[in-house]
Amino acid sequence: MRIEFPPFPNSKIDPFLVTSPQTAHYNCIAWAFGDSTKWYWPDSANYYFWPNEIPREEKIESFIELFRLIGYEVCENGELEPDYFKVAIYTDKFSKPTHAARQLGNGYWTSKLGQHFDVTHTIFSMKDGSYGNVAVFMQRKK
Amino acid sequence: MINTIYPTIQERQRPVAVSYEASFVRNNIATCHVLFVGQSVFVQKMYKQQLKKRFDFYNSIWQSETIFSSSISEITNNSAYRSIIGLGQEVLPFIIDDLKNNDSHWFYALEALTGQNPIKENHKGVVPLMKKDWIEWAKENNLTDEN
Repeated sequence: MRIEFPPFPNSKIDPFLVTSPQTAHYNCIAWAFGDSTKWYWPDSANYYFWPNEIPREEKIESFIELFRLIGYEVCENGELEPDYFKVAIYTDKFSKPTHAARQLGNGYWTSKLGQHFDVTHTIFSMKDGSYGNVAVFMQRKK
Repeated sequence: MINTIYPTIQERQRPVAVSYEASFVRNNIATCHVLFVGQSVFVQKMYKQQLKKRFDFYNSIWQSETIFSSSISEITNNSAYRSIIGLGQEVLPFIIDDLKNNDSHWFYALEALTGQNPIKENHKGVVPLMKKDWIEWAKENNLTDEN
């Protein structure tokens, strides 16, 4: 289903397709991590899921460490490479992590939009939107 | 603040659908609640209705402003969410009722208003189980909208 999302201005000119029902049972970080059963966030009050071995800090370093747990390493770009899975971590203008997306086998990206639904999109269609921009790409061997 | 503009004797003699006294109370229900709490069923009921309207208003703003957010700090620092917490413990039944029907992130507000956190360690991040823990706690503490 094609919908225009005002929080993502480029969604009207580049692919941005809804691919799931709305749910608040998991968020973008969990979805990029490969888990659709939990809400991942390093909240200081310790309400939400975050691995014990990673600092509960809303810093990009903590999010990088999270994806390192399952074999991802920082890489240069989000280009499709047949031998690698890739994720993108977004930050806002204050360098605070806001979002993560996971690359699909066809080069598009899949994201969970907060408490909304999943979408398939491009890096461009989410650029300069509510989540800011990609700060780090990470990859792991298939 | 109490509305100090009160009708003259002549104005009070005109027929009206709602008496000036009733209108006065309705217009100043929040103040009346503070003044007459525990004494007037009417004031309590009216106050509860007004509180529910304010809760629904802030709730709809909170939902629309944070629907795309994954960041719990962004979701719980939202000004409408903080306003709901600011309404005090009397909104707890409304929050529990909303939690029964939705998967909203009320957990911070509930702890802020009750000082409790009944969420089990292995339920962290599992929203349906987090909800279940709070709804059970609410039942045990007679904290539902029916009470």
